[in-house]
Amino acid sequence: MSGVPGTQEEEKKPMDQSAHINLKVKGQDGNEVFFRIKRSTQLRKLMNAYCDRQSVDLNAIAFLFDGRRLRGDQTPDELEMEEADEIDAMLHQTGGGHGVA
Amino acid sequence: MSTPVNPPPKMSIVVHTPMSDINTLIWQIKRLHRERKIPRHFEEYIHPLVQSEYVLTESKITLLDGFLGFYRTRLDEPEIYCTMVTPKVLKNALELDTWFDTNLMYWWFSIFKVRYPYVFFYDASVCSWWRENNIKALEENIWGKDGIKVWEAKEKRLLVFILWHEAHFTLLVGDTQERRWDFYNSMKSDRSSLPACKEFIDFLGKQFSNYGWYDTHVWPILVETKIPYQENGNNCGVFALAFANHVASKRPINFTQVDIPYWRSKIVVDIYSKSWEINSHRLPIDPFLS
Repeated sequence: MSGVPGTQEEEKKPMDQSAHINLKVKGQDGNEVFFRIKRSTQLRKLMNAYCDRQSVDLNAIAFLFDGRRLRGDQTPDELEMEEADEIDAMLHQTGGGHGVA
Repeated sequence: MSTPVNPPPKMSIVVHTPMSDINTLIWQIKRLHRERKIPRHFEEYIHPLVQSEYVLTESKITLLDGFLGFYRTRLDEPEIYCTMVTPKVLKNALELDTWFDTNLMYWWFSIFKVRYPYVFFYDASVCSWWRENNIKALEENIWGKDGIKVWEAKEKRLLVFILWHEAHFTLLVGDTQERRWDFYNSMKSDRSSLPACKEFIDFLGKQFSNYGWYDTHVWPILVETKIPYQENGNNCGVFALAFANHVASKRPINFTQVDIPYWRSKIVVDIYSKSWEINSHRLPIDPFLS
């Protein structure tokens, strides 16, 4: 009987851990910032935190995972992200016309 | 005395009209004068003197009206559901002198590409990634794991690339059946984008040939000249997207510089309404601000 509570505790631990995920955001300059968020949390939280921390404008930066751009409403669960996955933060290119830069 | 009028013959004559004539007639009808209904506060974004076939539908005008209303009065709400492009960037994109960015271009492609399954739209940033030698981003977007993206592209009829060179966007379209590249440059005086385009095609050719597609770098490049040109230094991104839209839908290009407000509004409202569609379950509000 004494083994039963122990087993339940062991089952709970991995459950708690799997609710969170560690993600790495890599900037174009090579800087890496690590985040730990819930799998069900919208990525906008991570994006805002990254922009605050790096002092960059959210309007000027895109986040890419597996070659696709991320939307703020997506979650790690939805994107089937795995532990220690890497997100790339990239600046947008703007243009208006040749020779007017 | 009036002379009797001969009755019309009983036999009717059927004249076969070739399809080309019918198409011409349709275009003539489409070009007829139309009334434009524009809300007063939206007038600043519309050229007041133009009669054009490029006119927003009533529902799009209402949606745009709603977006501008939210932006002015309750910005915190569009900030929640505009998760593709931020409301500030969308609002700025309506201004005639704002430059477009590759993020906005990417998301607009992502919305309308579902209607054109025979077209492969590449990320609008691939050209700048090539310039920066960002191999990881290029791999994920151009050839993919084990060349899967190359095989996918080979199956498509058209390959659409936004090119970026010295702060100028142009459009490159590969026709996989005709084996040809079409190059659309909205700036007539620009002489440096074409050589840059050739370099990019050489780069693509090398990557594609790694996965068994050997001939793309020898396809001829057709520089499109019967196209509208931009009359200022702000709209190359809009022109490139508008060209892409016409190429994908196989429509003749009839717009000019004066239709740019239409394209800006259309692109913004498309992204806004799609963002709303994706996130509509999050907020109990109506995108049509009454």
